[in-house]
Amino acid sequence: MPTDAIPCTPDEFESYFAALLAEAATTLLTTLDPAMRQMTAPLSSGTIDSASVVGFVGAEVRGLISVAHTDEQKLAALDEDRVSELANQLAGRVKNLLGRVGVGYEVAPPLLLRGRQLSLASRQKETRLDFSSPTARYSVVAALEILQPVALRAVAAEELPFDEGEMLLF
Amino acid sequence: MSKKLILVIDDSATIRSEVAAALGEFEILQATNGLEGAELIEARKDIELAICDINMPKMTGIEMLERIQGKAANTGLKIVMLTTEGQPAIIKRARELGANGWIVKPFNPVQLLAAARKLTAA
Repeated sequence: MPTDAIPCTPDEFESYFAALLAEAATTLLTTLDPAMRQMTAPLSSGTIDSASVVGFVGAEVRGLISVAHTDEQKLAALDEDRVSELANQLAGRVKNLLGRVGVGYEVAPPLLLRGRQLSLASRQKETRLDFSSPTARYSVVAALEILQPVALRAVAAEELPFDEGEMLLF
Repeated sequence: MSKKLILVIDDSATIRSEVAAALGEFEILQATNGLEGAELIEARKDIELAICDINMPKMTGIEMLERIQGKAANTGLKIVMLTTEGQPAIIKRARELGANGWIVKPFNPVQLLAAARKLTAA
């Protein structure tokens, strides 16, 4: 283990992951809809109409991140694709944030689930964040499994992931 | 004057739609994965710029770059990767394979249009 690495207990890393997820989800959803706000109370269960699930796996961690959507109107196909793209971008944002502290994972393509009154449940401890705006509601649910002890380390400048929105022309 | 042609390669219809909207002054061709993108690039001489995702079914963006190396029908083709990936190692790999740029999603439409104009300038 590098001398500058900071070992985390599972509880510590789970809390850290949940904080990164909240940061990434808030940024992503408020960019999509500036009126979006995180709710302190969970939304009613059984109201999900579509959900996109993205799996991820790395040396230290694996799990999944899902973005579920519910609104009063049936989503058009493009809006369903948008839910998948949100899950994809959210998993990517968390990946880049974890990459800054030396924790990596690879992301699978998103899977879209359609239905009425879906609910999401995981065997693993899960993090759930609910967001609402006047026109839509989103739930972000993530399940995390720690495969081996995680140590956070400062990543060298040349290894730092690019930030969202960054553009580089070679 | 006919519009310059840009190929957008992404499995997300949302992204293809948003890129097309940002690049309204161009003609846009779409592909839903790296394999479709590679086939179009190999077959057509009129594509000036390809904007390509990394993580796609059937063929990833990196695999597409590996396939089209030296095989693009249009040797003046520019390629920009548009992806959630931000790791320097994969960016370096794409550059080695001939990519001309990298954008981490979500993209800024004004920046994307400026990049497209710059890369397709005669």
